[in-house]
Amino acid sequence: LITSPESAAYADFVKITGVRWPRLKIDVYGALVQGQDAPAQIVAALEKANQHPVGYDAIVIVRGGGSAEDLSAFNDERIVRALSASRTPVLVAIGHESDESLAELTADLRASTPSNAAELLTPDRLEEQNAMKLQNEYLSSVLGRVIIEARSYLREAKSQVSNGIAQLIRIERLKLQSTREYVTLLDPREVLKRGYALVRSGSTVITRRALLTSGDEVAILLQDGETKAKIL
Amino acid sequence: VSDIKKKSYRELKDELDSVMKWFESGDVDVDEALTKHDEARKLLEQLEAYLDTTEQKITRKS
Repeated sequence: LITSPESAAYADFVKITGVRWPRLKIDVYGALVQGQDAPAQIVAALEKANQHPVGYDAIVIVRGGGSAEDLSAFNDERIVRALSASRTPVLVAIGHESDESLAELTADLRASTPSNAAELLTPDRLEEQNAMKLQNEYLSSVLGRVIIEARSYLREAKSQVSNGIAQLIRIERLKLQSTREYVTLLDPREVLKRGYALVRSGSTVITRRALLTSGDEVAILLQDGETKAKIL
Repeated sequence: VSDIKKKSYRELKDELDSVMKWFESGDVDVDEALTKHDEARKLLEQLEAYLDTTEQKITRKS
């Protein structure tokens, strides 16, 4: 900020930026803003600000209202050239809205008054907070909807998976049941229960008459156990 | 019970299938038939127990 630190313009600018954006860091380069020495001091301040090691986002030159003569320093060619040479963007507000100086015409941006310069330079904290609050509410509602949809999808998927597995289990049970019935039929003991007998000679199962001769000893397996017999 | 935990459903099913194939082969020895028959029943019980456990797991989760 290039201005006279004792001026009302300085006070207005600092007050308004303080309200709108309290964290804004302002370095003040004091300079006369009227009189014979003003142009040289303003040019020196501009050059110094441009040489700042980190660099500024913007340079602001403000001066309150006054007579045409009071403001005439801002029509000085040296200021115009220094503004034109500035690498940092410059915002200039001199006098009232109706006042127009060469400095303002040369600047990257002109503000009608020092207060207006403060408004142009800074976002309003409350507006920004409100906007963020609205964005936050919007995001919460979107997120809420996404979660509801995801939950409903999961519920459906879960039920589909459960039903699918339950169905598979039912089918498997039916298959096992039918195999079980078949296995029961294959049980040789079941055949014995129906009155048939199994005749063995040693380890050979006798399936034909020709395998036996008179006097052979055989084992007869019945449903409740084995008994021996001799062939006549 | 430990068998059920060790073997997968598919492994038990494959074993049962091979027992059933043995019965279908035609050349069936009676003593072996008794053994195979018991084996088949045991496998069937294990498979059913497996399905019971799986069903309980699903019921618990849903």
